[in-house]
Amino acid sequence: MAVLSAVVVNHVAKIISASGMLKHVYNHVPGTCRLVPGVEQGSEDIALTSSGLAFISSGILPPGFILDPVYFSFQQRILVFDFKNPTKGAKEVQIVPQSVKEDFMPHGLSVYEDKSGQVRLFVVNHGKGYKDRVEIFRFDSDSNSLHHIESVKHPLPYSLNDIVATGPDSFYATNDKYSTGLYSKMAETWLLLPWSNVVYYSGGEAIIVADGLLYANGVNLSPDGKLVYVANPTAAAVTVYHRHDDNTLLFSHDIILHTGVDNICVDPANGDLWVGAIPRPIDFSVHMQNASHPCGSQVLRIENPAGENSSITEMFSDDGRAGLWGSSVGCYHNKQLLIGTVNHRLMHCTVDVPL
Amino acid sequence: MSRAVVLVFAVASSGIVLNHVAKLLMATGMLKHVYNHAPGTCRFVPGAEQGSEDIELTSSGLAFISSGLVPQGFILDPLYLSYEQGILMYDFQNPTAGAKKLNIFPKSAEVEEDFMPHGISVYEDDHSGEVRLFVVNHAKGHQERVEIFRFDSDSNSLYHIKSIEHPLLYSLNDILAIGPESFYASNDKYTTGLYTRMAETWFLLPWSNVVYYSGGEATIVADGLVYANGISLSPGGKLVYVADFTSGVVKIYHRRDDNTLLFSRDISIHSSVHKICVDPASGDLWVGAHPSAFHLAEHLKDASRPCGSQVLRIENPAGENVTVTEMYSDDGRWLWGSSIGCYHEKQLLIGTINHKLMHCTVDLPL
Repeated sequence: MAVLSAVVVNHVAKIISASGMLKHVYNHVPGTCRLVPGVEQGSEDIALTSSGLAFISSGILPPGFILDPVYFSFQQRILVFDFKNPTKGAKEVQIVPQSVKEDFMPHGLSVYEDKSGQVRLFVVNHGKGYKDRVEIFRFDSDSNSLHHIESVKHPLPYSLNDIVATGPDSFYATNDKYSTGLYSKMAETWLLLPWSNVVYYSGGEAIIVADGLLYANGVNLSPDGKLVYVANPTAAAVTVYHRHDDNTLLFSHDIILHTGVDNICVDPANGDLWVGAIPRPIDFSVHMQNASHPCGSQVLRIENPAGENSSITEMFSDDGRAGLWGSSVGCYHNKQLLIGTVNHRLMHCTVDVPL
Repeated sequence: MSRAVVLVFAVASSGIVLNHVAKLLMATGMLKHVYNHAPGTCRFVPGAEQGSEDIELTSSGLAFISSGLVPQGFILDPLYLSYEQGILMYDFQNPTAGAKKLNIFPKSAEVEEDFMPHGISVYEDDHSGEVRLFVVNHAKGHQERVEIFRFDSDSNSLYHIKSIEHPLLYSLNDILAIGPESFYASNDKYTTGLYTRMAETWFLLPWSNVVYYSGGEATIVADGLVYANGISLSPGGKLVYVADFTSGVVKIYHRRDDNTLLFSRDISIHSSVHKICVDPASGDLWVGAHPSAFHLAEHLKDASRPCGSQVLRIENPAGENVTVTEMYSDDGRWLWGSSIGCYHEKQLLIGTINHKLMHCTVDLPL
């Protein structure tokens, strides 16, 4: 009886901690913030090109949640925002051919720029019938369009969340759960089953490179390509892996953030991690079921993520009052911060505080 | 006794105990994770390493700072007993000069050697321009007094005018000057002994109050607080703000013409709120707080243990749309145990109970 009670109490304590139920969220911003007009249906992931162009995935219906029917009316799109022209807002990018959009539910994104200057966008696509795949596009800036190059299908990427491109058609991707059904995914969450993993795909082959995670969500790469970062909201941490020459990963350490971390943006100038997070995941679950229920947002910056002295600074925190509910990503560029949400709006802030 | 009665009693008492434990857990902030962020560039102010528990500004941007406090009712690291007590001064117009200790006159045994300053308040006479400083003094042998000084800017000195004692001023914390010799003061606890005060805290006994003193008379004007700490006035003089440290709220009172107080409402801060600085230009409250009273208590027992700091700004405290913004937060990586933050012209001065003094630029739009 005693052992069983201890196990149950320990589990309940972990759930309470992960849900953020006892947390009070304060409000503060790094400068002047405003909502970007025209983005009301989510901006779950953001990926930047070297010239300050941000691709944004919008309209996701995240698998594994009981959803308010209002979300089913959302339009799935890729948007683009130019940091050099912040007042122009976010524009929808044309997808060529249009037939791609018939089975398109974009989630995580990654930009790959090759030496020729070609910009590729990798997009996690939750195709209908639980057919997760990765779409690779070429961006044409003149026509503001994404030209479809290929769909990558493979059994191993089966419950995709995020992706980071490592080559013109190779990438790491996170499988956030093991199962694909709604209730089985929820059971995995509540039972804290460590069945999430990270895979590496290249040339038609895929392997699992990190396993036993509670919830592998965002994934990104250090500027020199030697470290892979994975955000785990249930563990409330960002895990740092060394990347071997054969692309397998070796666990290095966890950076504990005590919050529901989602996607990671890496500042190419200094390697800082900017992490979008949901401070109270319990509010987020309710928000998913009821679109009018507010939910907080948070963006953390991690300096020196690889080193002994990582320094974590909270750059943005909001309990819902700013009108930005459920931040999943925050990308920094040239004294500005662009904050995306799972299924709400998009916010642009100036960063007036010294970094 | 029948089993039913025993059961009811057991359930009821468990409920009461659990509820109390839950309140204590929330009040101590033990489960809280504190993040770090600053509103601009921050640096320590030289000359103030032994505490800066309360800060008060004159209208010209001069800051008086009480330093060297040995707080009562806590188990303390002996290091704190070696601290020097005094009143420091910091000039926002001359930030590089650091904090300087003010001379106190006359140099009598009474004033110099029996001086343990705690809360302070500035009173500026509109007509004469005289600046008075009221200081809570925890004189030896539990003799609480309020010292009233006149500030002489030419010599950077405080000239003692008088000492005020009264039976109702028995466990003073902060003071709010209303006239040349009248004031509100907070009694933070009912008892004065170390263990009795700790018991009052742990049992969350609502035995703390606010008194009004004038012309030799004193009355209790607000009662039933758990831990009345900082006390401040709105710019119009119509509202009195009291920080209740353990409850984690700023209490707002209407001030009547006879100086009695009428409770209006609480603003929840969810931290152990300490002292309040009112921005005269906007009426905003700047509140120094401890994100975790638990870590603060550990820091008081062991001076080498870090504890967090937090400064919050409350806009429109009296109105419908109160807005609370966290202006500074620190898990102990820089500043330990903030008790107050005062804003002046895009700068923030943050004082601590017994650690350093910090000056930050405020680069964010307000």
